[in-house]
Amino acid sequence: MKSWWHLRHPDLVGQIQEDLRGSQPRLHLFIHDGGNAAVRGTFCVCSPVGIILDKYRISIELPPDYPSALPVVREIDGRIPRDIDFHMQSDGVACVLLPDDRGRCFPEDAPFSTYLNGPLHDFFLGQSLVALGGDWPFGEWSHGSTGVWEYYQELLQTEDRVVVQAFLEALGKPVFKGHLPCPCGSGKKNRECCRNRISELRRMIPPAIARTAFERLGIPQTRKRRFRGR
Amino acid sequence: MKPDAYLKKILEQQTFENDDQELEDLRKHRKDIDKLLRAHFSKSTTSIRWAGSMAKGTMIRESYDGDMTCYFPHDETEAGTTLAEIFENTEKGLLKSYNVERKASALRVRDRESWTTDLHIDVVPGRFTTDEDTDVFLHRTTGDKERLKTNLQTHIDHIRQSGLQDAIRLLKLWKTQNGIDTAKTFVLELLVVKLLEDKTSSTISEQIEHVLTEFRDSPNDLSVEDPANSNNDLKPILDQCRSMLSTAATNTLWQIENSGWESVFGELEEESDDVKVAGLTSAAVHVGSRTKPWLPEK
Repeated sequence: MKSWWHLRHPDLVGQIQEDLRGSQPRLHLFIHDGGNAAVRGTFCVCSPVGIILDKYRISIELPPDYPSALPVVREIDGRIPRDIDFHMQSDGVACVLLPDDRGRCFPEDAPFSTYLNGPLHDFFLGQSLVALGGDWPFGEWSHGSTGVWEYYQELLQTEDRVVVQAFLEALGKPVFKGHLPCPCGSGKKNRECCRNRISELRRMIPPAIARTAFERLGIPQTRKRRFRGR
Repeated sequence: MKPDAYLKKILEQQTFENDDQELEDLRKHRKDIDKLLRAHFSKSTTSIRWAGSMAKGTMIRESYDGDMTCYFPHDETEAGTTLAEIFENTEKGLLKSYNVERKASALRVRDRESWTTDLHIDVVPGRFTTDEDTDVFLHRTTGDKERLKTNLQTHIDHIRQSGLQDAIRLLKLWKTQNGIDTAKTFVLELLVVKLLEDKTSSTISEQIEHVLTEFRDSPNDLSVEDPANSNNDLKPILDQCRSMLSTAATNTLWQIENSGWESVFGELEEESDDVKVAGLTSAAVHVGSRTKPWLPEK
């Protein structure tokens, strides 16, 4: 059984409490006897100068393998419909962000305030606008694998799914291999073509994320095995 | 604005007007449930009345419930011979028109069409202990004991006569906003009355700060007694929430000290939708992360 993050990294408890106090003072970290750790209270959507624009009662479960695993957010009041079109699962879990996007907006080594002020604030800001008849301010990904394709197509600026897969294969390798053909399809070697771009992408999409992306993209197992076997 | 004036305004914001839709909905559901249960127990003289915050004058908008009693005379058996049967039969009656969730001693009524649509009503079945119709036994679905002796009127009087409804309402709001769900409202009310029994003439801000200071500094010394039944051991319920009360109170007192009361209960003005949209849109412009939501499976 996995040990809890707060036992492995006791200093993280104080850091999270400090981040909550600074960013969302009505949220509190509670650690229960069984190890279960959750942030609970009221999340405030704020203007850039700190004026409260809206409020949501939430719980944020921090799983045992946090910060590798993403926080699990639930809206408690049932104010947001438990409907996929509101990016809410039937059990109240909020689908805050695409896991593939975390390297950009909430890397594993980032403080908890990055999550609070970034993806979580964006999510509830969007919910407030949608509730008032507006649109998602930064758009929304389609549900399921379609949304994952959209993400990588936007990130890699290509509609070509073969190119997306080739990039993910390159990003999924533990080390960069300059002698391999460039995933962009130019016919050149990596080191002579998209080397810098791939280096930059690897910071946003770590190998583990690139490998699991194949599952989210719905690429069959055989394809994945070929990828992993290389 | 001075703290006490601010807190009074917060209390006003949390008070339902008589013609508010939420209150009208509650009354309508109560009427429907009353009719349903009287028809279901047509041969019984059921005592159905408001209990909880509605009767005690401690209701808040942020988190409101209408508790309804459904008590039966001590010598009647139409609703059931045992308390468990009364509980089950009341549930059966409610299920004719609603979804029902079992709680410790109550039945939470939800919309029949949608399980997630909460009607904010708990029905509390029970049986009077004597023909004086005062003390009742409630069935318990959790814990060691199968029944709980209580007295609705004693609870109502205890809170109403304390004169501390404002402090109770603000601390209920604090509990709700800070996610301290393990603190049962009933126990929080008793705690507030006990901690403020010699501070009834203090200002409301002094009262709240005093209670929070006790939560912060002496969580393990907190204790309460059920005014209706001294044998009702509330310690296990308190034990569940001591550390949460202390953690949240520590943070709140820090907020009051460093950022004032408005950082605890929020701004006063209610803005129009247009102003809200403008504020939210402006906030979106300044966002750097610009993340989009995504649902794993359709």
